[in-house]
Amino acid sequence: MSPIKPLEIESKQEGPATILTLSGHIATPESQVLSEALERLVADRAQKIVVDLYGVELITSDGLGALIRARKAVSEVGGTLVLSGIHGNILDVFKMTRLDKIFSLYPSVDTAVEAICR
Amino acid sequence: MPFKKNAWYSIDIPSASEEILEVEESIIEALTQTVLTNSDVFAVRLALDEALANAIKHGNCADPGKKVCIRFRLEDEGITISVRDEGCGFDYRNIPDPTADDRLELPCGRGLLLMKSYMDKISFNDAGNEVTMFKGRGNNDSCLQ
Repeated sequence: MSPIKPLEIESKQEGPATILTLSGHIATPESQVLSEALERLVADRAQKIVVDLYGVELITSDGLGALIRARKAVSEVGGTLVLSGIHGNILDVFKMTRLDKIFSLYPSVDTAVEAICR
Repeated sequence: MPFKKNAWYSIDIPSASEEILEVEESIIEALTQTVLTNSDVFAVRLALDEALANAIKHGNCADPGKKVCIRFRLEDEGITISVRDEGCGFDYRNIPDPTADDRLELPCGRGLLLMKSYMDKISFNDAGNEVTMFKGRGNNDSCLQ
């Protein structure tokens, strides 16, 4: 694994879908930053959200918790939050925790956007 | 800095999550002097982060007046790390399974599972306020078991 990399978050709109692109490490210190970014999307009433984790090299339980809370909050207002680009060690974490059973996972942002905007 | 094999190194931090990064940087630097692979380093940082977060949030209730004590030792085969808080400990034998169907959507409770899954050995002291973990080279197949 590379030395510690700060979490970077970029947000963009593709039609009705909001894409949140994450890269770097999501350990405990960065999880709060992720939570706040996701809470802002929910507060802004984003209804179709893709969180792309392709560039994420580490995620801990706090980061997973932030994604779970956001998924629930979006779902409660009738929206959808899905994940894309998960691979390697990060996919292993999702499988081990069985979170691959509750999140919809897509190989790329494009496939995720296509699925939720269908 | 060069780290001596089989010598214990100690770091004490106040109970604040922003203190975690410095500890992780120090230990990851030390790991560059071991035989561990990139996947092993991933496993160590993940487990270490979980242990530190547990100690700060649950053990010391995020009281900055309470310390978390980290000790680590580089060995020929890997690294041993212990994390101790000033709390009264917890019953690590009776933690609900976060992979159970009815717990999957809960946002917390996965830290211990990740620590156990990614490290080769993990043990607690009797009080339950100190965890000691060992990671050796290349046992990553166990991660998905």
